[in-house]
Amino acid sequence: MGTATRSQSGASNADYEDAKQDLAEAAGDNDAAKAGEIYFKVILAAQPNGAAKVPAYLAVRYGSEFLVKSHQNGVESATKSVGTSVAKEVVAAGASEAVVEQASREAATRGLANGAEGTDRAFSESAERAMESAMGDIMTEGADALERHRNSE
Amino acid sequence: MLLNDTEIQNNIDEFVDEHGVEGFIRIYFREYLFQLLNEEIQAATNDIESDSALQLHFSQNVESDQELKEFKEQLRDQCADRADELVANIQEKPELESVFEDADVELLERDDVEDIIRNSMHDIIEEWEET
Repeated sequence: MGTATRSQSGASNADYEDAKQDLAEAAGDNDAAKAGEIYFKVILAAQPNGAAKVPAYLAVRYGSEFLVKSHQNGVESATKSVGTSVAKEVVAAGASEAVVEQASREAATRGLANGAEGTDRAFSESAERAMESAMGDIMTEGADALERHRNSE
Repeated sequence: MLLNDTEIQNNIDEFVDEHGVEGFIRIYFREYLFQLLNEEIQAATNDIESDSALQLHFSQNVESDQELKEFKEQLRDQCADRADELVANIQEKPELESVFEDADVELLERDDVEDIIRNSMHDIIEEWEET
């Protein structure tokens, strides 16, 4: 996934290029609904499947493990259990960094994160940024981190 | 934002008590889809093959940091809805029941569980293409 490759399934190259143009126009109009529609219906589906989804899965796995163990045994213990210690004066992103490192390390052993090129690396970087953002929101906002974007419920 | 250990622990406890593993996966996929979408928008608007007038239009229309922030929050709303669909599809799998009901995160270490979740992601993305 990411921006470098296209048309592994579904949309043709022409469709993909048209969709990119439409996406840029939607963004230019500040039309988030249209931008989302174009991206999720055309562009995301045109990206390769398979190994590119591994970094996102690893983030879900290690992130879930970190949160549950933090809840059960405390953040410090959970941080050690995923392989990295953090300083006492921890910045919100600091503890999540341990989770990112662990997920990235395993991704690397599968030949995905370090040395991977193009699509896989773009996907891996997005998965890491998403982890930092998700953990940062949870650590700073608590339960409200989820509710803020659930207006439809 | 600098928080002390107690504040972080309290926020994590509150989140897990209220939303559980399901809540984390929802918020993770929300952020993950947002990163992908935002990256694609940046690439599309900066594409050297795209119309330069379009780039100018984009740069002129996003007039302030506040407008850009609001636009990104709206993009996140779109991604939150899609993340909810994704998680609902994953939750339907009977093999994953103990992950959500009992916070059995060790189940996520199994290869067959990884396959179930990755395939579920793939299926829902294909559904979005077809609808």
